[in-house]
Amino acid sequence: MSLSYENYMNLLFHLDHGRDTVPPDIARRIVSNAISPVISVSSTPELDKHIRSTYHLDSLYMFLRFFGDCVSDRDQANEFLPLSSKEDPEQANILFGKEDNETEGGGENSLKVPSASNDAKSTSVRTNGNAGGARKRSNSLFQRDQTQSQYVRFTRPLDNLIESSDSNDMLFDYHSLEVFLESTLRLTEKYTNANTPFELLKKSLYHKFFSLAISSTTYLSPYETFNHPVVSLIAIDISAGQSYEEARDLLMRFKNLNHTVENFPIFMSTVDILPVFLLCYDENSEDEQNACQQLANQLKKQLFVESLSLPLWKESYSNDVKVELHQPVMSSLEEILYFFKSPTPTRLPLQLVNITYNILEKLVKNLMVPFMKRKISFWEETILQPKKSLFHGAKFFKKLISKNSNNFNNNQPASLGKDKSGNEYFISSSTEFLMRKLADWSMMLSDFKTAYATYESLIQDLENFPKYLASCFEWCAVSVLMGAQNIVTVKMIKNDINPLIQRALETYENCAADENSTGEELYVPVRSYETRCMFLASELFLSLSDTWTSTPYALSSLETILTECRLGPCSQIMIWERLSDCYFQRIDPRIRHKNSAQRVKTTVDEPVPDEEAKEEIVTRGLTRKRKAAFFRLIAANKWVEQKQWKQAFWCLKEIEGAYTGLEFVNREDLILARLKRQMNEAKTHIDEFSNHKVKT
Amino acid sequence: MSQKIILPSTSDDGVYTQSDGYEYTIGPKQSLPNEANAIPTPSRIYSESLIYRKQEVSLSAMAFLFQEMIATIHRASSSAQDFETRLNGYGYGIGTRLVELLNLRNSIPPNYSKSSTFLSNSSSTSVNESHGSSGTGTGTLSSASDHSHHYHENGTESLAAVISNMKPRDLKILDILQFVHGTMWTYLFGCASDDLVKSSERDNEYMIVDNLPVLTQFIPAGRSCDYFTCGIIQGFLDSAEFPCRVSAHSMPQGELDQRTVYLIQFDKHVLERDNLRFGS
Amino acid sequence: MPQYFAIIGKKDNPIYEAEFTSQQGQQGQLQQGFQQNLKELNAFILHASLDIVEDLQWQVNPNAQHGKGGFLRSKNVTNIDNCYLGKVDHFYGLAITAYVTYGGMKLVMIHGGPPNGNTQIDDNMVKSFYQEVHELYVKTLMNPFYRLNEPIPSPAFDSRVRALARKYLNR
Repeated sequence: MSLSYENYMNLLFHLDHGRDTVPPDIARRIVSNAISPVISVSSTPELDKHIRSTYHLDSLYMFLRFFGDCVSDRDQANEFLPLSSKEDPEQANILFGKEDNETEGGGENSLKVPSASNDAKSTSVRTNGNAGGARKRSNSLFQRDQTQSQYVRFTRPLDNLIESSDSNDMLFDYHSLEVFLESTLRLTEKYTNANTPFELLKKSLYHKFFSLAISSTTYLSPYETFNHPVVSLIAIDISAGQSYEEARDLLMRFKNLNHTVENFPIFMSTVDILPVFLLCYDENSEDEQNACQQLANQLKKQLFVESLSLPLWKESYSNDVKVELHQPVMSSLEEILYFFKSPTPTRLPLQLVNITYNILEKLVKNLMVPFMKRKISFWEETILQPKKSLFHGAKFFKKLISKNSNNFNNNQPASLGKDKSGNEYFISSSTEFLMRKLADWSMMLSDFKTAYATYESLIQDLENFPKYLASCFEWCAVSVLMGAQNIVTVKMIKNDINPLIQRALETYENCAADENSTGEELYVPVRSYETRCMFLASELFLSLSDTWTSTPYALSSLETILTECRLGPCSQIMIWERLSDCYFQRIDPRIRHKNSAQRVKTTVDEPVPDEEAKEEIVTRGLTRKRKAAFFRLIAANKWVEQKQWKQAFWCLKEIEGAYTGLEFVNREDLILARLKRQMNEAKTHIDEFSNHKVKT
Repeated sequence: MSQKIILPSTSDDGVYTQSDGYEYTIGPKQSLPNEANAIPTPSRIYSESLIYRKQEVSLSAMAFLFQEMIATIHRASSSAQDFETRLNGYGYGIGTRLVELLNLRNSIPPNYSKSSTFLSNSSSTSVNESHGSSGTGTGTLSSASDHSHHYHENGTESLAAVISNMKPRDLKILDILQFVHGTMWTYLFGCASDDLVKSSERDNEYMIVDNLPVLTQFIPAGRSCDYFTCGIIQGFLDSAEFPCRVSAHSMPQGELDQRTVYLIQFDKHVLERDNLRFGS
Repeated sequence: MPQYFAIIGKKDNPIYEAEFTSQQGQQGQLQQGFQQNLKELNAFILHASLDIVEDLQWQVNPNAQHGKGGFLRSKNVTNIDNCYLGKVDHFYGLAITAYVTYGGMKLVMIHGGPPNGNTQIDDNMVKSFYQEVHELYVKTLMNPFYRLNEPIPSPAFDSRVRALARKYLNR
């Protein structure tokens, strides 16, 4: 079984994949996932109660959040597959044996962890997993068609979101990020030993860190719409006798949120959110099934809202094998930290998991995506087209008009509005905001071309609104990097993409400076946009095929983060390590084939030293391996400072090869020898400590 | 030396006395506080100038030495190939030194000829003066050099100081071969070699032709003794990072029955680099 | 400002290293050496910059890339000095310069700078220093008992290199 996106992102729990290679377009996948459409889930108290009593989950949202990320991948169902595809008739026994073990150990085991022995078993089976034809859909990262995979994220009900938000919210919170890292490192320490393959794991950890740095809050930004819900799922419990009246009331409530919620942001509107009913019922009851169908028809005829039926309960579920669910790749930091603190394994019947995926696929394919496409073409026709035809590409005319329109901007109260705390934003119905939404939604649907064109045209309109402008620059660049990945040339990077990013950063910088001068806050929210922008840029640059040309840009972004952005110590070391990765990847394309061949050779058997030395005549100077080793060394030093011995140990192991045959590196007064000394001391110290503990 | 100060940070003045040089197991040493006042360690090697002075040695003397060298190697060798390899090794060391020396000398501006003759065209076996007093049997001789006015005890006068621009390093195969064929040959044998040819069959093969090899002119048959020159060429090219193999072949042409061809076969990676770095 | 100078042989092995500090403090003033955390790192910083040195080593005009070499620009193209490579790398305020000899020996140096400031390189001076050390190296090589790529333990060599450092770098 090949490494799936989810397995890679949660590699710590799939260490049997530890020797795989990094999925090639992982950066784009993470970005796609991070900006995927948000579905807000609201349910009646009765339904939540019903779910709590059967599945021990607090609410429907807590249930559905496990099904986020790439719906068609069915990650949660795959949690189970390796075992179910065993040809061995004993599988059930083994399976339940495992279940029992884990239940017993559940108290002290923080998260579900395949133990080492289980790993060995599953690897041996995995090879014939696909051959068994357990499922036709392959979720291999290498085969999937980009356009077919749709990622989604689930979130709490909209009113809940709004009430808990704060105007000083940031895109990500460097402090929580640090706490997250520390917890993850502790887990890593726990699940790995000296022989665990660590190269891929380290990359996976970085990517996890990266994904949280670019998308880790439910914060509703006024400048971009990625976190704004696209679909609002309204759920009622048929089993509890809820029917049309409840559904109608809930819908009315949702539609009226604009007025009823006190702090409803002026840049949001429920008009652009698709309401969908979710009717939860018991499949054993024929009455309920019929009721569902009738209600669905009624809702469609009278309220013009589609509904989906989810058989949340069924007798056979209780006999079905259970799947232990993993945390979704994209969750907010808050939630992740919460689960780190109080880990409770969640198990659901496999049948239900699969059925839920079926329903969600319907939701995404038949309702959400068509809705988004309809909206996009509507906005294109009503906003984009008139604008284009008016200017018709005549620059002079355009200038004239845009000048005038700038002057008139003050007389157009329709576009701008002030919220309760006096901040001025574009309102949800303004041309500017709708255009932004059009672009963002195109991004969500992987239509990068439209997205790019829209961002670009928006740039001219937003010249006087630096915060909007900065975000536009940023996403304009991101859309190119995401869309034109394979045809990006040196010239494009130099003349188009990098200037966009630089302008975005400058603009953010100016905004931050402005806020600094007025506000008393030390760390202004806009800084978090700036940091995210650099993270995004670095990772997307790094994923380009011509790494020789693109890595310097990635490097400079990361270096700027290090010097200018506020991050915790562990987060900083992650970046130091990434710098090393960047240098390692910097290989002239003309010698890349050689290099890979060389590396394979060294791993397979003893390299022919002569041949390798000669190869070096050509490759000399066209790689940055020594530079990479140096940055890894610095990272090791910093890990030691943080007393993260395992990480430091891995770093030193990684650079062993680079420094073999060099006598000077082991001099007593140099850093390498010192680090080794310190680590040995720490090791003996720990050993003594544990010995002591055992004795007493 | 009375005011010699021991660094307060170290009790081991043995390591830090200025009379000690670099010790690679220890690493770099710091400057000493009063090193400016110290007298530089006297040394003949570092005080002599590298400038070219015309000093000739009689060909027969050179020939006798060469003969003795060959005899010694011959006695020790088990096969012709063994002999050639050993002789090659003797030349190799000279080649690695020539690449630095000749290029550095070529960087000296032409008008700088203070009390020295510049490169002469006269044909004679020229000799490298500072290379001298050698017991290694490299075959290069030295006369007792009269270091009267080139000698500066404090070592302040140097050639590098008068060089404004160093001669560029040769990066391409053809450039460095030109240097071997011209400058190096002139230095060793008094004139440029008779021809420099590129093989028409193989891309990595070049030939330097000598119609009348100076060193081996008294040796009647076989070109085994020319492996000394092969070694010089190979040492030169290897050191400049153009690894290759060099062999000598007899190619009589008309009356020139001693005509020798030095076949230079570059490592294929050298060609690849040439192509990659300087190709179209 | 201190410097850390090394001659690197063909196998990335240092054959000579030295640390230079300025001599201004005649009476009691402390020498300005590298801080301890840099001292243990210096050799690695130089090693890391060798990638770039080797890249430039095989470029026809190594000084063209980083525009600082203004004084070299005016020379005609056929006679480009490609021994001195100028500033090749940097690391948190430290500048690294390099020079390659005809036999492929790499002369490299870390220039320490003022705290929180960028180190300024006087290219003419640094270049002269390198050229003179190059000459000293060639003289070393002329010694038939010295073997290529071996460390240079000679105190005479050491004292002369240090004298050159005082002359060109730390006046």
